[in-house]
Amino acid sequence: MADRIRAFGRGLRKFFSFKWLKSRLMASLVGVIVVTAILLGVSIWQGLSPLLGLDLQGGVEVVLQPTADQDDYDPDDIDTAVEIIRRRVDALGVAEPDITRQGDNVVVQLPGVDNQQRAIELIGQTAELTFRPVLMSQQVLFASTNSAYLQGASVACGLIAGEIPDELLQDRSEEDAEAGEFQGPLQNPEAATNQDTTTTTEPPAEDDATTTTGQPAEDTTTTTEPPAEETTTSTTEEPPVSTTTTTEPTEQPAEETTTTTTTEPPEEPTEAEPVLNSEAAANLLEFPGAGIRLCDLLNGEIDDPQETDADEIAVFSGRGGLYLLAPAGLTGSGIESAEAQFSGVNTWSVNLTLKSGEEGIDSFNDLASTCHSQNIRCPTQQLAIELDGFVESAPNVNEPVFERDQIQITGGFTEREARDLELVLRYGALPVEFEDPAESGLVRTVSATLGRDSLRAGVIAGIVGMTLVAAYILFYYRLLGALALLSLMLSGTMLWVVVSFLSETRGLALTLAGITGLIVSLGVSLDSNVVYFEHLKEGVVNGRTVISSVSQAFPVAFKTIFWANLATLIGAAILWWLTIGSVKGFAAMLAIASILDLVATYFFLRPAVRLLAGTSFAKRKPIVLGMPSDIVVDASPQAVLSSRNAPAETQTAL
Amino acid sequence: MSALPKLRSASRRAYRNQTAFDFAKIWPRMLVVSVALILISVGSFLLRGVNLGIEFEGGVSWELSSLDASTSEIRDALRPVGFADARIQKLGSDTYRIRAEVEATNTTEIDQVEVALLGNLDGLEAENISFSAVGPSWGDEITEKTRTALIVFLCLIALYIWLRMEWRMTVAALVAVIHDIVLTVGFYALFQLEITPATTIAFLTILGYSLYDTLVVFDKIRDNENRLAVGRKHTYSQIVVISTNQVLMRSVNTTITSVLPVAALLVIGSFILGAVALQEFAIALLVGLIAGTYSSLFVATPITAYLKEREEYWILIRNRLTLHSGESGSETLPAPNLRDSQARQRPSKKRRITAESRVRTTATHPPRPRKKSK
Repeated sequence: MADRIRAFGRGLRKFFSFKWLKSRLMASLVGVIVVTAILLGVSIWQGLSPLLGLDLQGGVEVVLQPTADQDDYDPDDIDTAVEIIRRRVDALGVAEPDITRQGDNVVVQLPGVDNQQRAIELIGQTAELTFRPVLMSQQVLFASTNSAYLQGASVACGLIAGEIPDELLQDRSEEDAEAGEFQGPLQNPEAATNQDTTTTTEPPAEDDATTTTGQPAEDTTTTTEPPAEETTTSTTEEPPVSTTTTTEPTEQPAEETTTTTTTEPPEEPTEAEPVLNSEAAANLLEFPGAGIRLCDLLNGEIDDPQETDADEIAVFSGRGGLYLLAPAGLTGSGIESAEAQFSGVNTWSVNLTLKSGEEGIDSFNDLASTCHSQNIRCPTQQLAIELDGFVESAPNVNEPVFERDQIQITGGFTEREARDLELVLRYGALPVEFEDPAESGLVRTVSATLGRDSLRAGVIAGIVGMTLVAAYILFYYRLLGALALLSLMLSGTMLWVVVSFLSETRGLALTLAGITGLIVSLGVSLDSNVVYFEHLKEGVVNGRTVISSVSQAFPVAFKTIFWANLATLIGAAILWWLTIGSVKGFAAMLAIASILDLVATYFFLRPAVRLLAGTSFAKRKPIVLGMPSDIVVDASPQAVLSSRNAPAETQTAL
Repeated sequence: MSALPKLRSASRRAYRNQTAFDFAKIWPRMLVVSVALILISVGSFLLRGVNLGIEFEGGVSWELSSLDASTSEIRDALRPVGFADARIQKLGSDTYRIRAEVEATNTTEIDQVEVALLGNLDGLEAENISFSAVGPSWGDEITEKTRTALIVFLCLIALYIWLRMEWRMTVAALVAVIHDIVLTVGFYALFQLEITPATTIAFLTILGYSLYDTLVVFDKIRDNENRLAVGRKHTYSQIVVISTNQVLMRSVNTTITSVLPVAALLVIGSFILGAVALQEFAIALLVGLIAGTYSSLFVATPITAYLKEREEYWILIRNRLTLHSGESGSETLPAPNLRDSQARQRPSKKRRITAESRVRTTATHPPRPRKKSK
């Protein structure tokens, strides 16, 4: 029994020593097959499959119509818009779009239907890009640590809007009962009510908001402080007290309260933090125009980007909530270039280069120094990048002065986020304003341009063609031909996996042109085999045995294959870098196929041919390898003797 | 009766890479052919121009709404007026868009198409046809960038070949590639085939292919140059001819394997099954593939040989060899391929066989260091 176990153990060890692989050749052969099988398995398991292009499968169509109210654009503007949209879509990946101008409309077709939402998102962005300091954001406002901001904001909101915030009050106190952490801010609305009513009696403050913003802003400063005291000293049952106060200061000038209350908090610094924060909020509210909009921010009232001028304070939505933004300091026209960059484990950043001069880096540095110093014009230290009323990103400004080409936006972006931001920065604005395709309903699925008939014809022709090729190769090279076909199947499978993967991640779409690129590269890949086999045959004809010819022929043949493929790769790389659109997709296919050709030749064909040549069967009958078997006859002494010019032949033949 | 064994032995030779075509002899003829083809290409390009597709130039589009028909029915309806190759797309459930390459101002053709549509499609009402002009979908920017890329590509490839081989081969390879470009474009101009993005891509594919082919031949020449030059028994032209013979079957085989699928696409796809859209595309590939093989055998190699023969070293060798052959007669004539062509003319079967085997040995095998031959 013990013996048996020991024997089993030995067997196991023997197995795992992989001696059964015999040699590196076997290992390489098995390895490449296993790797391919695993890749294929994973891609099938993940449900990956290549995305077929517009010409083969159809896709989604988005029609962009210029908005009705503008009639001053000229036809060239539409053409420019087509180019910009094309660049945006191209930058998405290697998917092959079809973007045309049809009348005054721009018709964008994208392959595959999964993209529908994303297509609309990208194509729909039409307005100007601006850089705006962030005055306040929901994130800052509702962050529990900064609750005093909320205090200030709520009070300001109440004060300025003049609404009787009874409902608000009740709502908040209910919440208060539930969540303790909201305590600070919750009591403020109550306190705010006191002052609120005061301001209700002062409608002027509300009406000429733009001119007298200074006043209400100061008001709010006052209101923020007293509540802070109250919260610390009194309990929540005190609302009655506040209601009493509401009746009291009906005609009281706002100015007075300000002065009194502002002096108060320093005297009783019961809680340091709220005071500090309320001071920040106060500062913010001193900024002309900010106070009223702070109220909007609080209530979630978003400005319509189409009606907002770049030099107004505005509330916009964005990634991570709403933002209250100061007037724009710089527009997208100041950008020279932007580039997404890999900057470490799973993080991406965007490098931004601005134009020099007033319309570029100078304005940007003004903004940067403002934000860096947390000036009242930019208390959050954030600078928002806004496109079409949406805040794409609001990075913190970490330095007061930047070099023109040394601006980096970091923030733990994923690749896609970084690329999107890059796009936004690069191709900011369209010259013509288009209707939102999502609203106008001009989004629909479209069928393949080539049509099913063509596709069917192409597939049938492809099958027939490949069968003929296989027949020819088998006829000419026999077993070697079979190996060549296997190698082709192997690289074909790997190609399928790679293309499916790229379809999924980069939106690579297989068009007729792309498939042709693949077929031609498969042809080239077959050619690599032919090059090798012909070298092999040359050795055999010169009198070598098959096995010795194999070891001699491969390095020579592989050298040729390698350098020729390298030339193809160079070409593909140039096309990839320098072109756009469908040419780029073609380049990708070409490059992938050339690399896979080298892999299949080295890791599959080399060991396979070597092992096949080593079998006794192949030694006995070289004809099964497609090698001429009647060498000896041809190299007969008589023939050799009569050819004095070739003594070398005598040597090898004998 | 005698044709069969002749063919047999020819195929046997071919199978063993022992063909002995004296390419040098047909080089002048091929030069004439190439120059003629190039002249025809340039001429037809200048006279007729190329027929750019709707993707490049724009055209017109019709939208047919509430129509219950299939794409192929619409295509059939368009066939009589010559627009069977229009791009027909189904939009949503019952709307079709037809894009055709017609100038938006050409009202007669536009009317013709509309009449044909109304006449041939049941249930299509005139008010359900809308018409608009279409801009190019392949923007100028793509053309421009592709052109830049092409130039950079040629420069870098030239540099690459120059570094790996030498400048003479660089010149030869570039001439061959340009030859292919001119011929393919000329073919399109001559037959007024429509150039689409797909054919442009096919065209780029061909460039890569042609270059690959040329590099394989050059690699062989370099290989033989290193080995045969030691013997000083061959002029450069002879080395080139030997190398070309050695790679001939590879070239033929590769051409066959790459032409077969394309030919199938052309014959089965477009002629039998009537998929017109594939036709122009397949023709581009076919012409390009054939031109690529042709140019690597008959353009790139003669140019290399011509340039190399002007090198001092090879002039010396050539002079030495001609002197040598004058003294010792035909038996020691060092040009194996020339000898073979002489041998073939001889009537004796026996002598032919020996000559053949002699040819094979000299043509395919590098002489070892000259120990034994002396």
